[in-house]
Amino acid sequence: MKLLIVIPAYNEEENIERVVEELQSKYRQYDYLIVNDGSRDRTSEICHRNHYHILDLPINLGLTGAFQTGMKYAYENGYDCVLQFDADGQHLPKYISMMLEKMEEGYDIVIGSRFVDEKKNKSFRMLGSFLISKAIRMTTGRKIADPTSGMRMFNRDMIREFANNINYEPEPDTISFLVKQGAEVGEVQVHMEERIAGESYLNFSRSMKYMMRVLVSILVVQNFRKRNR
Amino acid sequence: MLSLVFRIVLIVISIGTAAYMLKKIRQSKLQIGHAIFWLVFSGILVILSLIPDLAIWGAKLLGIYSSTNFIFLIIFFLLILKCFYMTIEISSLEYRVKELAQKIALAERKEWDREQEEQDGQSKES
Repeated sequence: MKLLIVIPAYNEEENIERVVEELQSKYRQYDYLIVNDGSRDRTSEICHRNHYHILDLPINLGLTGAFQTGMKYAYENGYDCVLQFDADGQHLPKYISMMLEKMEEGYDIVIGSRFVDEKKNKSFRMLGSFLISKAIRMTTGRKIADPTSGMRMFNRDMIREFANNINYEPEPDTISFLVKQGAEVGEVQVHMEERIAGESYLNFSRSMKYMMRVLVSILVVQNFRKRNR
Repeated sequence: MLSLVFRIVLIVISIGTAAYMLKKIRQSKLQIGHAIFWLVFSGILVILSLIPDLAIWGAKLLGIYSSTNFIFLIIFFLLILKCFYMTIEISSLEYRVKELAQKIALAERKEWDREQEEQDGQSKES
């Protein structure tokens, strides 16, 4: 299967080099695309200097818009699957082959999940993940152990849907919607690194807003949506 | 006191708003993030009209004469807040469109200049 690793990057000058160097040195068999989401720091400069495979958005679109750009690229260039991959070094490429194997069993989406075999710890951060899991369980009847994991792999059908439609954000509510619509979602146990440099995007008020958005979306909105294939 | 008619009107309008927003999402004409405010707004109004004691309690707490006024206050407050955020959003959108247009124009100019230079170079050679 022809895989494209899509790496949305917004102000990741401290991390991007380390992340891409590892991919380039040890995982040459996979193609990757950095989508620079209008970064205001030296992210783009670093990538161009090192001749990385990069696409620059002229303005900041946010994760959804940046990721969709990657999906459009993958769709136009005939890739069979896409891996959503963080630019901050949280995601480890050593799990990609396991996710690909799972994908070949016929799944539409494979999540690199922290909680297949391991238990969620009872921290405040995990409360959000727990609530979202519960909401998905309630509305779809399926168990997704780690809906907030940002390491997700999508097959060709999903690439087409994500590339061409509105309201396909790379977020848990879209996963819930697709599960409800009959998509097969598998999970593979992975380990994630703590963020090494830079600041996390989610502070307290943003987390609250995010939770509100995702929960209302899963519990209410997704029940009324229609799928455009 | 909230009259029964007032409560029914509130509920009907709220559900109508929510239904309209959901319809727009179904037609792929609205982003979910933008609909969340209106869904929560309708939800709050429905709750307030189903449980009149909430408005009575709120009115007493703020020293407002009637519970109807408390509901008006809530509606006012939420709409002004939304208006405020929309102003900021529109301003940022306008700025981004301007930035985008300028970037495209400058990139095109650069392209033309390069083509021109190539042509000049060729005509000198020939």
